[in-house]
Amino acid sequence: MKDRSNRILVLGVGNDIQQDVGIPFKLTEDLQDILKTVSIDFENIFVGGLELLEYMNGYKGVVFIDTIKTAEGVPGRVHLFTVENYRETLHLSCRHDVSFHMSLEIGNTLGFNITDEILIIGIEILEDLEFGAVLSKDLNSHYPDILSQVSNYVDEFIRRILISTSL
Amino acid sequence: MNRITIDPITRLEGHGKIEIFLTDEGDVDNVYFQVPELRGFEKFCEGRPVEELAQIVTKICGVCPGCHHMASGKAADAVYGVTPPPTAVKLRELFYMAHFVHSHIAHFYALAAPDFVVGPTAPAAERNILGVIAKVGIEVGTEVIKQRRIAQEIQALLGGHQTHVVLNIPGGVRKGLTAEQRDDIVEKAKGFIEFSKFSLQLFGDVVLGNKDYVDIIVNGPYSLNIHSMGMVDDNNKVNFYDGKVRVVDTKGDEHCKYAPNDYMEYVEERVEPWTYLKFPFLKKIGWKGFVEGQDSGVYHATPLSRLNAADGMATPLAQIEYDKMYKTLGGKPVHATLAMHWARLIELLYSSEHCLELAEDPDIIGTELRVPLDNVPNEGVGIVEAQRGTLTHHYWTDEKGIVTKVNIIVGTTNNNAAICMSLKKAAEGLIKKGVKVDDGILNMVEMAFRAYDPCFSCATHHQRGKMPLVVNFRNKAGEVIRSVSRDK
Repeated sequence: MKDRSNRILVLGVGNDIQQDVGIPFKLTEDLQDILKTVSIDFENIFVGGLELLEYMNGYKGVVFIDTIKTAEGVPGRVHLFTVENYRETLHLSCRHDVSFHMSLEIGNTLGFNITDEILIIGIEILEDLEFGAVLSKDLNSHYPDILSQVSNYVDEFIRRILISTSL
Repeated sequence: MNRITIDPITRLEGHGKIEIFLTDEGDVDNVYFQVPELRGFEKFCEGRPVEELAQIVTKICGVCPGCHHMASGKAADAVYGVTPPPTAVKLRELFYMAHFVHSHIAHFYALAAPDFVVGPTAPAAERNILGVIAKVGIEVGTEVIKQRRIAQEIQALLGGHQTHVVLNIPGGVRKGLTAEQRDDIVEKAKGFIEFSKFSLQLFGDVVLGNKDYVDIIVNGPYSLNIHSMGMVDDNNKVNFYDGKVRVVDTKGDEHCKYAPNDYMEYVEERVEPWTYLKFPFLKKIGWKGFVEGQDSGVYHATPLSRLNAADGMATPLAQIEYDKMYKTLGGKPVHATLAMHWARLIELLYSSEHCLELAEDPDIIGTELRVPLDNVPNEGVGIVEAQRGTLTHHYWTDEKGIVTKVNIIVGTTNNNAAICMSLKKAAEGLIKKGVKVDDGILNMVEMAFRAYDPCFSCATHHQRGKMPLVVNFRNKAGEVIRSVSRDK
């Protein structure tokens, strides 16, 4: 395994044949073209929970991009969370094992090297039950703005983490 | 009439709701286990080339991708009327054993063990995997994560990816295994066996060594006298990948044994208006309602039913544990729902041993990976045992192999009636006039379905982001008179 101690992981969590639930995968793909920093790794996964530990282990910082449904329900709205104020997005917890917070707690208990530098980006979607390999018309119309916002947030996060390291 | 609602249920995959109706006296009148979401994957598959389905169906659920991949691969073989070469079959099985190891470890330690290691009525904040680690030690927790990871590595190596599996193609598999990779898997499989033995020892010490727990398993409100389904090989031993589906009745006698192609002669699905999840039943008996006994059409397809339906295990150490379980619980078949946890650990050991057997088989590094597809595609059925029950994929195609119709009976769907009945029995046994319905009692009701390891993402294809447990007490008019809730 390569040394992750000075690297950032950007992890898309979703399902690429479940229409808007697949937006994190599209974002990680496009971010690879925008963010040229060699210190970033991009991955996509389907489920959170215990599965996250192996992905996160050893990274200097981790950005999760997931989908979210809230009462307000404005599609395309980008929500930002830290571990402290995070409640729930659609996939970071695994219904078949543990919640996101518990997975972090387990990782720390078991001696995994889990960073405190975690940014969670939740993309608001309206529907998570539709099938489709492309985004809904509504979300797609917001996509350029979503990509721009997410790119800025990730870039800002990376600069802060990596620059603080180099200093 | 009063009503208690548990919605959504905790520690299962997907979304479900329990409605408990009480009499005026406070006893349980009826229980409904509802799945309020619609599953639609079969429709989505129509119009796709059949060879794509093995990749598409892995995305039904992030927890059970390998099961759908295997059933789909076998169904596609059947559509083309081909049998993969021995190396391909063994590579598929090797992948599948690692999938079972990964899943069964997760269920026991994350979902089942909190109820027994920490305690069924322990505070909810402690009744989780962290509570288990606190009881059994950090080194055990570390080993759980490590063995899961190793199982994932084997799946990723063979399947191209641990979740987005691309191993199966009609007539075989995409790639083979080198001798060096094989040697690595051999060592990993030996580790699985040791961890499985440890897990059974832990179960023996913590659960079987506790008289109260044994009493709950054997004499508590958790028994269900129904028929048992499971796939068996030519010797009637448990097999997850191939063979015939055997059903034994409530007394342990063979009710039927059928090849995948014949499943529609033996299993029929019933629809109820209050849930989207269907109720399969034994066709030759017919649907007699949510009733137990020899004349009922209700069966279950679980680790316990697989052991009940078989004459034994196909590996030596698992066979020893199989004999021990039936001796301890009074012979076959066992109808104690919570014994599913024990059966699951025996299956973990079987998967581990079979993983080693396959890795040490000279065929596993063979180079004949697929057979040509010379037949006109038409229709095919693939059945495997998923961790959560017998999984059936049935595809119809046109002459170009484009899918025109799909029918999938998911493991959890087989158990829908049984889960409803188990919940009702548990609720009847635990919720009575004068008994305070607290968090511990509700958890003990939930234990009835948790034993089945249900996966409603598969069965209905839906996931929710949050899992609070909400219990509403309603008066005769349906008004909420008291509400209790907790977050997971």
